[in-house]
Amino acid sequence: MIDAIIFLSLLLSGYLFGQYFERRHYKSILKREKGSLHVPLLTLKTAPSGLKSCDAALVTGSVVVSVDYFKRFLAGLRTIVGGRVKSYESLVDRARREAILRMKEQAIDRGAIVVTNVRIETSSISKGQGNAIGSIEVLAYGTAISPHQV
Amino acid sequence: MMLTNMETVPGKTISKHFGLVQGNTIRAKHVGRDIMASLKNVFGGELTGYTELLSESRQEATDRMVAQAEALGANAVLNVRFSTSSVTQGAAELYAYGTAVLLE
Amino acid sequence: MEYEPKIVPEGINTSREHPIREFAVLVSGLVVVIVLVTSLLAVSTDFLIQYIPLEKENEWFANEMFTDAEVPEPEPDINTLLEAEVEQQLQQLIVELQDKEKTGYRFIVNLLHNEVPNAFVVPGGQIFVTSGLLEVVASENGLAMVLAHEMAHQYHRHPLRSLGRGVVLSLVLMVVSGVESDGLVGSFVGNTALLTSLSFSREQEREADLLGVDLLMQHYGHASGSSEFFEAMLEQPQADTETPEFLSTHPGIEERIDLLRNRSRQSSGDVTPLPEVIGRYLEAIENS
Repeated sequence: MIDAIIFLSLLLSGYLFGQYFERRHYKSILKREKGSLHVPLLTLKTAPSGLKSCDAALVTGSVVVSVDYFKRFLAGLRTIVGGRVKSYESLVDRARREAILRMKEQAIDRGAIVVTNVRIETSSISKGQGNAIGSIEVLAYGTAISPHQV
Repeated sequence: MMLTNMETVPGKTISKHFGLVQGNTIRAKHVGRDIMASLKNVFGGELTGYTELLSESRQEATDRMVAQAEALGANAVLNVRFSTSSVTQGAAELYAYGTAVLLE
Repeated sequence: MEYEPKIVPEGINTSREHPIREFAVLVSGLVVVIVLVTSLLAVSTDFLIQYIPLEKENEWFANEMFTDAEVPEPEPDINTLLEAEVEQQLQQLIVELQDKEKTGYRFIVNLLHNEVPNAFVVPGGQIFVTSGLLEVVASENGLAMVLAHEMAHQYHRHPLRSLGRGVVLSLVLMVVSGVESDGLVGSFVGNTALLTSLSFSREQEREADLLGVDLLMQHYGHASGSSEFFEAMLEQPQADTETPEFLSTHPGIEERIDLLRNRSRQSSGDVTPLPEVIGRYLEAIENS
C-alpha cells in the first residue's frame, strides 16, 4: 500500500514540476530564438560568397536535460505498447534547441554573421537503474564567421 | 521538396536560405517484437521488427524536417544529415537536419 | 544567396496531446489487458492441472521434501517424545475426518515449533500445524476445523493449482518485464497481475471453508466450535482488520467467522475437549 502511495506521489510531483520547468524552458527558448534570428545557421561547408577578411572560429553549445519520473513511466509504458514516445519528444526538442541557441549565442558574442557547417550530436548520459536513460546530452558545433574588426 | 546531402545542386542556384531545419521522432516497438528480437539473439538473422522500426522513424523524422522547411517557404533541403541515438531501451530516436533553401 | 530570417512554427517536432490523457489511456488499456491475460492464464492452468493424477502428485512431492530429515537428530528429549505423541493424535484426528468416498488422497501431519498460530498444506497432502495454533484453540472441534480446512484444500487440489498458477504467471511476467528498460513499469505490471491472482486465492479459501465445515459435520454431527480459531485470531494483537480485502490472500476474517457461526447455529452440539497430551506438550515448551 505504501509503495503505491510513494509511486503515485512521485508520478504527481514528476508531472507537476516537469510541466513547470518545461514551460519555463520553452518560454526562454522562444524569446532567445527571436533575439538571435539575425544569425543564420548553415549545414553547408562552404561559407556564403562575398565575404572578405573574416575570422573563422569553432563555436559550440551543449546542454544536458534530464527526464522526470512521469515522463520515464510513460516512456516505459510505450515500450510495451509501441508507437511514438510522445513524452520524450518535447524533452529532446528542448535539448536540441537549447544547444543550438547556446552555440548561436557564443557566435554572436564573437560578432559572427553566420555559422557554417553546423553539426549536432546527441548522446544519453547516466544509464540509471537497469538500462533506463536518465538524461540526454546534445552538443551543437559549427564554424562562426565574423568580419574582422577594423 | 528536394532533399539532398550535397552542398550544391548541379544546374541550380540558391537564391535564398532560411537556416537550419530539423525533424526528430522517437518510436518504440511493442513487446511482441521485442520478444521476437530476444529469440533472434539466440538464433541469429535480421531483426525485421527493429529494421522496420528504424526506417519508419527515419521516414517520420524526414517528413517533419520537410514540414518545417515548407513552413519557411523553402523548396529544397541541402546537406541533410541523420543521427540515431537510443534514449531508452526498446525505443529509437531519429534526428534529421539540414539547411532549407529556395532553389532556382 | 541571401538570408531570409523566419521563425519555424511550433508543434512539428512535438505532439500536442496532453500527457495526462496519454497516461490515462495507456494505463487503463494496459490494466485491462493484464487483468484479462492473468485471468485467462490462471483459469487455463487450473483446468489443466486437474488432469495431473493424484498418484503423480503424491509421488513428486514425497515425504522427504518437507521434513527436516537433513538435520541430524539429537537424543530424543522430553519435547521430541511429546511432539511425536501430539503428531500421532493429530494424524488420528485426520484419519477420522477423512472423506471415505474420496480415494487416493493421502494426508500426513507435521508439528512445527513456532509461536505464530498457523496451519498450511502443501502439494502431496502434507499438513503443517504450529504449536502456536495449538495454544489458541479451545476444543478438539476448533482444532478439527483447521485440519478439515487444510484437508479441503487438498481435496480441491488447491495446493498444486496454486503452484502451477504461480509458475506460469511468473514466467509470463518475467518475459514481459525482461524486455523493457525500467523497473518502474515492470513493477506496475507485476503488481496488477498479483492483485488479479489474489482474487483467485480468496475464492479458494472460501471453498476450503465450506468443504471443511462439511467434513467437520460429517464427523461430529454438528458445527459447534468451528469458528474458535478465527475468533481467537481476531483477538490477537496483530490482527489485521485494516488491510482492504482486495489486497489480501484470504477473505475478511469477520466474513469467515459469520459463515461458521451460522452453520453452528443451524446445528449445534457439545464440543469435545482437546486430547490432554496437547496440554502437556504446550506446558513442556513453555518451560523449556
